[in-house]
Amino acid sequence: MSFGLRTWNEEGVLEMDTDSFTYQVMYNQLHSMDGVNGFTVQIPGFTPDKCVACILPTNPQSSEFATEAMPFITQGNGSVTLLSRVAGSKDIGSKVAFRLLAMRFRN
Amino acid sequence: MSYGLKVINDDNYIQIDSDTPRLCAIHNGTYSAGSNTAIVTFPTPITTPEPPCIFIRNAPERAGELYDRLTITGSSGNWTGFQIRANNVNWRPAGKWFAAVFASQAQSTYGMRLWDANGGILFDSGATPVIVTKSNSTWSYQGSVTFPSLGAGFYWTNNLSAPLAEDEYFLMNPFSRGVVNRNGTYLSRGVRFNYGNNRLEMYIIAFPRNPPQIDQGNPAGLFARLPGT
Repeated sequence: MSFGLRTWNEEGVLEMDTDSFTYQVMYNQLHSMDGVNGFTVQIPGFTPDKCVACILPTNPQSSEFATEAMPFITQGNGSVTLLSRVAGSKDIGSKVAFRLLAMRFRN
Repeated sequence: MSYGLKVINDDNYIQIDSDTPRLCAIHNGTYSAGSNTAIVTFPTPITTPEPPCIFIRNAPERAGELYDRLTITGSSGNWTGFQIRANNVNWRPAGKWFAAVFASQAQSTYGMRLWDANGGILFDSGATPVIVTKSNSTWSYQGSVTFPSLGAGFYWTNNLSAPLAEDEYFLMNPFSRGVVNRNGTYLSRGVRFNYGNNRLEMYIIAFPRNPPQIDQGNPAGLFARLPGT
């Protein structure tokens, strides 16, 4: 390798090497499943082989009921879809508040 | 970008620049527990609006234990720690962790610090960007095993198989809670890194007469290294 950045920590441990990749934020927004069955977020440039989307709940879990469960997530080209319940179900779903983070980890 | 720093490596990948925030490690340590819940307090609160990303490396000697809950304590702008709960009262969660956010903070008295156009810190030598190792958000259903007194454990393995390095971790937040079943009930979901097959595994606990849906979507399987830990 001939280009790039190399950094060391105080103990002299190599932290970032010239061939290191870092997580670049692409999308970072608050959402809530309360009152919605689902929605799709458009994220230009998002591809599942080079990017990843994560659900970060923003409140502590208060019970073990469906309303406190994680939303159902699918990741596709250009978009991420969140459902309050598994596909095909008509019953109670998640109502959690969360932050959706999408990151790129490869060019 | 009209000013600042941009580092591009041989692969044409932008390692850091003055425009885009990077996921930066703020605190790290080990966790252990005297019950089935491990409690960690950060040395100083994390002050970002968003909850930190908690990366963990479950101890190889306790690799069979499944974690079914992550609770981040504190509130927006003042995250003080986290708790990890194992899915069985006899389990004792143990391992290593680090907490990362999309904003750096002034931690170091030497090295390099980068600010964005609004004066926010993007890079600091004491809170370096997290190093990407791999990520995969697709899962394959494997079947079910008996969980004594709890019904059955229906389990999936992540489609990416690779050894977990000594200083490598996976992101716990996507597995903070259980999932919704088709009939609107809550099902516990546990996650672990299986060192035998070198994969992330998730188990959903349910009664066989009311099993979970096979398609569990794409919860993020995401790995990162924190060198020197």
